[in-house]
Amino acid sequence: MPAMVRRRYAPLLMALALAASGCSALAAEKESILDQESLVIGVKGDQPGLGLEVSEGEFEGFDVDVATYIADHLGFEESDLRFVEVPSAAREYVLMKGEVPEEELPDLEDEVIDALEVDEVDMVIATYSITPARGRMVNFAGPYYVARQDIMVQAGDDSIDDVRDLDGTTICQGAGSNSANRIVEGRGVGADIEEPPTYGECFDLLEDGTIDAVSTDDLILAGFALDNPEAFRMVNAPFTAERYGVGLRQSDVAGCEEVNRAITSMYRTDAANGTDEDDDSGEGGNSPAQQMLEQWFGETGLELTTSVPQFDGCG
Amino acid sequence: MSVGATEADTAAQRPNQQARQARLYPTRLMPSHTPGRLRWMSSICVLAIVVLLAVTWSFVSWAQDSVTLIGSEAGPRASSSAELYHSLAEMDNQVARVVLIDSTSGANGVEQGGVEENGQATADDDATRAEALSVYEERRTEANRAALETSSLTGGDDEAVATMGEILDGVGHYERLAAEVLLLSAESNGDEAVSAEVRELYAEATDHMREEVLPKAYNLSLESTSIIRAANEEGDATLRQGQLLVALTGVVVIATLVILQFYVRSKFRRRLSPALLAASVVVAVVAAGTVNSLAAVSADLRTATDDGLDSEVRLAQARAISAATSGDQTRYLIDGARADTYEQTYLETSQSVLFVPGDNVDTFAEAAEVAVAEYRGESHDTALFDEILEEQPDGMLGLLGEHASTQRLTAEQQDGVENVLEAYLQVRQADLEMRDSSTLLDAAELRLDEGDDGLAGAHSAYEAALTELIEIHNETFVDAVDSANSELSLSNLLLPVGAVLAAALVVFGVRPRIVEYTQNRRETERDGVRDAGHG
Repeated sequence: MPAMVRRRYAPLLMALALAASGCSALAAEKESILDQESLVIGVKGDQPGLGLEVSEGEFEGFDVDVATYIADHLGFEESDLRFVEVPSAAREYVLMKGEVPEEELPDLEDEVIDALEVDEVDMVIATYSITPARGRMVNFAGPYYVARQDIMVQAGDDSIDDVRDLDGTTICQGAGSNSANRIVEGRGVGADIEEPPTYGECFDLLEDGTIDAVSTDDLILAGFALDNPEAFRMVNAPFTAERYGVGLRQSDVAGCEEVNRAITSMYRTDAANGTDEDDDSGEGGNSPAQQMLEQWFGETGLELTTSVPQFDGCG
Repeated sequence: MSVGATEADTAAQRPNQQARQARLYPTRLMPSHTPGRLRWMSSICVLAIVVLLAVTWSFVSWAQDSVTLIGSEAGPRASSSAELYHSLAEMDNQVARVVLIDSTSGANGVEQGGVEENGQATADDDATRAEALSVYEERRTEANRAALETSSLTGGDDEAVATMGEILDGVGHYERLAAEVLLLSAESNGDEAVSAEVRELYAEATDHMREEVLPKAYNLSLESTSIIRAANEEGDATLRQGQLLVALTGVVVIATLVILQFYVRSKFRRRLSPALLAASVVVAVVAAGTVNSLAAVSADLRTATDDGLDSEVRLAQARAISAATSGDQTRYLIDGARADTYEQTYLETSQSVLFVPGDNVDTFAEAAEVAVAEYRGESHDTALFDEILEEQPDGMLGLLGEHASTQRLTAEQQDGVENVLEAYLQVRQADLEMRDSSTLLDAAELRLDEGDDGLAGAHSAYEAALTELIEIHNETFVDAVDSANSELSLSNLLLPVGAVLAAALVVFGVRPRIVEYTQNRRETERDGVRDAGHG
């Protein structure tokens, strides 16, 4: 009897219909940041102007402002955000934790793991350069800025105008950095290398003349020089591109695409974005990105790029 | 009900009848006499058919929207914005080329070492200069066309419209700067090959193109592919749901028809109404056909995207970026002050197309040779390749590298990829030769040489191979979209026809029974009256 057949199988059919609709939601490794209620954002804690911890859990800098802007665009309130310091070596680790099995996590020294305040982070904005090798482990949105490796010298020093002029000088890089090697090995320039633990110390050495130049990403240079802008001069002869990306979990393609949209609007003037109704500051002609860059690096004499960078695309 | 039955008998039979009937259909809702019931039940059937039509139609039109979005809007837009990038980069390259030609043609009073002996060389250089200018015009036309096409596909997307506006503004600004550069370059007569004035102005122009204009075009292409990805994901889920719902509705409709069949059979003691049977068959065909269509469209969209569009756009992006690297090779020669930067940019941009580790152009070219040889199964320096693998366990990366190693390719596509990689290596080799040249003139000659050994020639061959491969994938895309469209237009035709046919068959099957029943009743009553009259 048809009616009885229908009644017995109806729940099964309904269940199938529901399962079909729920299937796609179950397929993801971990939920996208778009589905989350709050965000844990990894930043640097020791780079003035970019990511600097000013008090417990409070960070400030260009990277932090960018992160706040993006999170706001994604619909998060400031109270939903938590910033934590992530050392350079651990950036992939904290993004992959929880998404891949333990064996597949990148190797990390115990002391770095111990120093980590959190295990998992949702988004990393920490002068995190996009490279294809890293791109296989995490998903990069952006870049949100393309920094360039540049050279900083003492203010009165006119002898150095580009990389080649560093021949025969002493240059400084922070421990673990690759910048000086790029000059010596990449460009074949004969310079001596000093390598104290931090870039802060490099600047102290530069100030008292122990070394001739510091070379690394121009934003980092500008940030460190902020303390004493008149003592230093940026050579403005950039020679590599450092594409600072927003690190996300590998599986979060939708989140990556939305972050790209956030970055695009960050580089649009407020007028173009339609958000300048309350603007009295006279900065209506500038995009949020330009405002942030000028706020943090305007005094350093750095040539800033204020147009949207070319994205890599979300994997 | 037989004639002459007593009241009591009828009354006694009624509960049984009702009990029997209750198992099949709700009696309380139905009219109490047979014709009424017949009309009621057949109305339910027709209504169910209408519901089926609505369900199938909504999913079919949703599928059509999806196919239109991917096949006619976002898909072509992803390609045309990559084309735009390519044309714009090429425009800038031609300007650089003209500056290079001017700097080595004696127009600037530089000693050419005998080239000017009979004026023939100068005439050739003029011809080349004129050719470069006409290519510049060609590229500009191409860029305009690509911009127009992209703009026409941005309808409804305010972001994209705003971006296109910014791009066009930027191109206008670039053209003004370029015109000045070309003028100055032709006029300059300084001691240097390229005067400082020309160099600086050109630097301003190329920076503007590279930083303000090109990224927006590229990002537009990426945005289009992200729309497609999201549409595909949503499409898969919805079309699956659609198949299920259509199947379910179809089953429900057939069930109502079957009940009607049984009722007619029990009331009129016929075996099966052929019309109602035919209606069931039509409904089954419509439902099954739609389920099949939706599945076919889903598969077509997958093919169109995974095997067609994704590859096509990625390769188009690779071609666009390669145009920028080609320009860097020229810029390296015309701007001594920035030579290092241009070499570095050339290296980094080349690596975004095919990534293997390499700190400078020499080590990069070496690593690329080894990686490609390994990919093609040819002999190579295994020690070097092992080094590469250590740094990069996944082998080649970058747009082209990932396409070659991770994409599922047909034999034809595989051949195409190998041709492209081979041509890519040729370009690297010619480039190294150029950089190793001892004089600017030699380097410029190599750079401009259109023959097989020259850099310009190698680059043309590489672009041609890439274009061929792009065409192959584009064909796959277009074919799959066409297949989906024809599938859907067939459905569009058959659905209403099928529904109307089924409904008509129901009416056709039931109406004669109603008429027959009514006639029987009248005859029975007349007979009863006659009998009563006689009795």
